[in-house]
Amino acid sequence: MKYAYYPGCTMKTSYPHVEKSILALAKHLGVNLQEIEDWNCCGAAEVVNISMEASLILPARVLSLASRISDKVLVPCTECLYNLKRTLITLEERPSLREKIVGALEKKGLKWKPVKIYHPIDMVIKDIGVEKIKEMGKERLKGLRVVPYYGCLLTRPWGDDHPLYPTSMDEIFEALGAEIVDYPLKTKCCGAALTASGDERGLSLTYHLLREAKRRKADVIVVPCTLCQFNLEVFQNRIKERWGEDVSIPVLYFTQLLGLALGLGEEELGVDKLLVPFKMPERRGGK
Amino acid sequence: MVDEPRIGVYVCHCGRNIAGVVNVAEVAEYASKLPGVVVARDYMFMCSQGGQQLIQDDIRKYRLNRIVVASCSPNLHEKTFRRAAKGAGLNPYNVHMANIREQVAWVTEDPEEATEKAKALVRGAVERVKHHEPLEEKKVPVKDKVLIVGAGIAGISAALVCANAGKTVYLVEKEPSIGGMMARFDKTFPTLDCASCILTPKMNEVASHPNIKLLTYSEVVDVEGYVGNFKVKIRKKPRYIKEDLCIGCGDCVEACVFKNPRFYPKPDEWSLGLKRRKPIYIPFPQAVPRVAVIDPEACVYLKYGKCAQTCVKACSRNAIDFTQKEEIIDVEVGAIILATGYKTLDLRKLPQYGYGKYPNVYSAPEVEVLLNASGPTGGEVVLRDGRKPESIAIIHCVGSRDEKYKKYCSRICCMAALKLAHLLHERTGAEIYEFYIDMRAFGKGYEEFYRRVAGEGVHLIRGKVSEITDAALTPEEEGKLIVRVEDTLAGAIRRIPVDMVVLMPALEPAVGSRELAKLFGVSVDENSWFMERHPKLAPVASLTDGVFLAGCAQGPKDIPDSVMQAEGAAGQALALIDKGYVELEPNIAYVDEEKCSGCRICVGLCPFGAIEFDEERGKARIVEALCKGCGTCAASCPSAAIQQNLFKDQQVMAEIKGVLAAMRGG
Repeated sequence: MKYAYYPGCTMKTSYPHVEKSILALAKHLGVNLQEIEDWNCCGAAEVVNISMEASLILPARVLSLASRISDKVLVPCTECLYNLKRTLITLEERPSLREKIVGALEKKGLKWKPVKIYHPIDMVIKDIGVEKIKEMGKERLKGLRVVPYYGCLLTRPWGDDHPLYPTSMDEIFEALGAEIVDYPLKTKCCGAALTASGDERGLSLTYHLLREAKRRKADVIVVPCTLCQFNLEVFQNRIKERWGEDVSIPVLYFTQLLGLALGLGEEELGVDKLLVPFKMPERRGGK
Repeated sequence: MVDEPRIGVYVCHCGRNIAGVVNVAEVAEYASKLPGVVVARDYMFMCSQGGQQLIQDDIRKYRLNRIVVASCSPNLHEKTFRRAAKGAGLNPYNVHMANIREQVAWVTEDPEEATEKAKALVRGAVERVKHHEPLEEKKVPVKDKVLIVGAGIAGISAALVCANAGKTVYLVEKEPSIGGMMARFDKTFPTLDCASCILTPKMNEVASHPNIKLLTYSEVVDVEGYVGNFKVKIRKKPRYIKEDLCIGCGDCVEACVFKNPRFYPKPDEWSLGLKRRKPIYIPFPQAVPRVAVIDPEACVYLKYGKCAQTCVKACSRNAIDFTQKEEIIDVEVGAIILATGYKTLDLRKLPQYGYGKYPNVYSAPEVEVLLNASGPTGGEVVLRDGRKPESIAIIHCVGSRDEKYKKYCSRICCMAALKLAHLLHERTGAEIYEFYIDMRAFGKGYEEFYRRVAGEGVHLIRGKVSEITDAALTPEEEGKLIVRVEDTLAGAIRRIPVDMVVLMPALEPAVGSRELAKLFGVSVDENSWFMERHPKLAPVASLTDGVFLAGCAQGPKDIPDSVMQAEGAAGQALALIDKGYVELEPNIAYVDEEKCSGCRICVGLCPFGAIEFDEERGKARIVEALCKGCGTCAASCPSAAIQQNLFKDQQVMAEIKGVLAAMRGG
């Protein structure tokens, strides 16, 4: 099993410890990840406001480079995932744009060849299978109350899961022995980039997510997106100052909790670098 | 060619439909010069009395023996022109139509191109009709009995019409009682009639009608034959109760060994699982027939062979019979009416509305039962947690008008929702919030009903609800279900906390209707509803002769429309039966035995089972009464041994040659 691996900018700059968990988990599962050479930014949320074509050519270049490695590309950031999928679908549906973009790629000696775009969750479900994961996991998460939080972009507008009420992570962690907390906010926005500008409306979204998880007595929130992880982790103190409510709860990236559940070490998964420390259930209560 | 062809060609203007694009005079002029054509004319409306008269006069005057009409699709007027020709003494099958409206004028924009195309089709028709020969229709006698499948309000209405006309009716219902969904309702819109007060008299009439053979707890398992002569097999499940002895007193139910309602073994079907029932039960107080039934999956004796059998001891009429077996009943009928109804969409497919997760989210049919005096609470509106609701949200279009679920409008929900709003407000005094996309009040008295309920203080909020959640943001929302919606009239996102939510689910075809469609050979549309022959002009006939449709089986419908369609279907069935015979189109296939090699390819391909294989002679044989003239066998026969009347090779080839000759400018 070989994937082209596209880490994206955030992973490299702010979340190297999460990236460690992706690489460690892949290795553990026997998946060969080959990082795309000379990859570029996907354009994030900004480039599309300036130029539609530029917002397509950036991901198109990434996909083209990925196709040299494998017919599948692994994308751990949901914003990147969205942009790559948007490009794939737009080039498929709009021949005039495809002609332009493909022409531009060819000028640089690149070929256009569509590839399958996978999030690590897709990789686990489609390539490994929940049954296999269950076998490997030995219910290490027993006694842990988990909130699987999906955010906006993983299931919308494109994805295999239910757009408003996804259950893929629920199924994986349930198979690993965790108790899944019924969490009606699972696809609500975390505040995204709005929190960065200091706008309180953004912060209040993060607050509601954390508060609801606390109220439902969750031990941990697990997320598929590093921006979600950033918002939910970083602002816990500011929320306490603003609303006077303790919302402290560890927030783990999908591959971090999955790695722990499969018996990998805290350090190799970057769990030791979390802002809110997390302990596996066995070790709690002095055991 | 049997005789010297003397052809008349008639080019129709169809008002401006054809003449607006095609130069009809030029087409007629062109036709008049074709070999074999004696006369060619153009006329404003060929289908009018005047147009038909014109053809008849010409037949007599010019001794015409072939007619070509260039006008609309033969679907519309083939019969008209055949009849006209017959009236003038010509065999009706010596008429052929060239379709220059749907296939030319409506699709070809350029007038010159359209005129050339019309000429080509007319020339093809002229060449073809030369090879036509007189054909006779076959008459087959009809059985004067009717089978009706499904005994909800549609099936019941159709059965009574047929039975009152003196025909024997077999009314088959898969549940132990007739009555269908309507039997669960408390009141009906827009008049707020008591549903059971208007339904039970009809149910009782069915039960006591000498012409109706009621077969409850039964299903059709096999259908053979054709219009006028269907052979049907019906499986009657054992009730383990002798129907002729049971008087429905309920003593056996009372006596059953299960005593604690919490531990009754099965969810009660009639009340949609709002309560549980014993293994022995009478479905509901007004059930017809009012006869107990024993559920073999729940009865201790039938499951384990051991029980105190308190029911047997309690029955003073010795009606309980654990040895009953299922029966197969064979009936022969001339016409069939399918009235198998609907079910509501599985609300778990819309997890954002929390049905099945939040106990106080209900489906509309559950609320109907809850409001019913025969329901689990005697008509009191009490929530699953025992509270009386102080605020209630009713949500329209749950799965209807939604590309992700059902694209269509389910038609009944707007009015049913208003009815529920009225009844729930009346019973509980709760604040009622109704969330709708568009309010569709199309029927007689419906708009007035909408105004009335709106005037009763119901909050009508226009917007599609995005979710129902229990995640409270404010103290007022604590412990409530919160309805999140975009109020499109106020232009704001709103969160409305309520105690109870009622979802109006989309309607979909009843369980097993696809299998039933196959069994009866009827077509279904893209949503699996049974398909009518024509959406406007043949709304009760199916595409299979002799099989008619009634009620929601054909598409979502309210009670008035269901009854209308049912009585219409009954009328059609009676018209078919009372005629006494059916005429079968002579466009059937036949086998040239000299050429038939006995390969049997045709036997397996015939979709109507109309080809038999004569083992002794080693030849295929077409059963004329079953052949629908689809042409599959003729096209597939490797030795060209099968020909089909009106589509013989020489006729089709002549037509093609004619069209091609015209296109070459010949």
